[in-house]
Amino acid sequence: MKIVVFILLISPIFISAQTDWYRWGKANINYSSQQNLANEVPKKNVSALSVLKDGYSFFISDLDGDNCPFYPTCSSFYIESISETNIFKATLMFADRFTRDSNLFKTHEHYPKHISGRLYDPIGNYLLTDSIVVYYSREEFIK
Amino acid sequence: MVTTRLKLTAQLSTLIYLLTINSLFAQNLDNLLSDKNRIAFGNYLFCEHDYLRAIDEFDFVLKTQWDDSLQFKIATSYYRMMLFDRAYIEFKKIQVNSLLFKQSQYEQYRTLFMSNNYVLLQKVIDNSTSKSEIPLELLHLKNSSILLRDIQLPLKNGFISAFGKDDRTKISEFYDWKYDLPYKSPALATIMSAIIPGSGKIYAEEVGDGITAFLLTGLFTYLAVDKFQNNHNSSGWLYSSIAAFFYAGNVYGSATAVQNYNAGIKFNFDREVKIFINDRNQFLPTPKHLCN
Repeated sequence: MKIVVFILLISPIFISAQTDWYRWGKANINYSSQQNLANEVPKKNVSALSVLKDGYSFFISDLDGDNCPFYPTCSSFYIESISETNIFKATLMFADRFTRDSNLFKTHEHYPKHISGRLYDPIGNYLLTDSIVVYYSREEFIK
Repeated sequence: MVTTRLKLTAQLSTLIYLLTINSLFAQNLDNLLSDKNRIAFGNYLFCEHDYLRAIDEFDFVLKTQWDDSLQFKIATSYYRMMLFDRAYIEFKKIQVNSLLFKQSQYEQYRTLFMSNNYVLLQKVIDNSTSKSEIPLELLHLKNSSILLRDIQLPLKNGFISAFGKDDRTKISEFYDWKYDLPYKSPALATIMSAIIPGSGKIYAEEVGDGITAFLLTGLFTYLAVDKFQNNHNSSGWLYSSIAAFFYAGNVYGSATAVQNYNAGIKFNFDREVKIFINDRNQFLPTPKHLCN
């Protein structure tokens, strides 16, 4: 009985003294990725072409292997170009990109490096709009 | 028997008393989280470059009492985390009657320079002083930021005479470099590639791409001509389409290649100028006694 009374007397003191327990409360952390995956591009009104692109990815690209050295990849570049401009200009941009991809000498030092390990080659630099061309440092990895 | 019981009760009472006192004083948060302790801990975190947590501590103190040195440290923390927009807002909170007002103004200029906001920087400098009496350090910063803007340069002699003898040679070099940046013409590259496929790319110093474009266009053109000559019209049209695809893409790509080349020229110039200015601490006095 004495021991019980003793514990009852002591316990409230310990409990009330430790008032900063809220610091150790459970944190609400969201672990879901906030960034797009490597080949994911925004899709705007290009559903028919997206189907073609998905078909190409499924039947050819996935079997052939991940060979494109650029980010975004050539197929994503084309789809994104269409959504940014029109099919005619996008085809010109894609033809240029395809030629650069086929470069026989593999002189890729002209491109900045993306964090994914590919060469960063954004659509914005090929829209013929001088003011939005961005030159990226070759010493840094682009996120 | 009674003596033993009294003795036991006394011992138990002493034990309870000691435990109670110990428990109550062990976690006295009122003292632990006092403003004085928060400032001391904040200063420690600030000097250890743990800026986010330092800001938390300083902010807590500023809720109850105004302290311009804490506000200055908060702004400096944002600056050092390269959150320049926020740093500029925080530096602006320091009032005219503060001893740190002058330094906070310098830090505002420095922050604007570091965030590449040269237009606002020049406007703020002009508004803060009368044009005839701009302090020398501000004139240096203002003039050197002109080099980083896409505007017409003022006359050379007046421009470089504002700088000290040590810097004049370098600024003169930058002036000449900026005056005649070796940009290339996208129109010329387009015409070149239209005449000889790939030549526009070579002009833009993309030699590998230029040769590749020449070979691809040439190969498919040759195949198309060969098929048409042998009356294989369907194959001829197929190869013609492929040749046209590469030809048109190369003409377009030559213009964009020159645009990217020009962006590289501007980037390299700006980088050199910024390195020079940052080596001189943006020509402004640096804050002292932040970490003793």
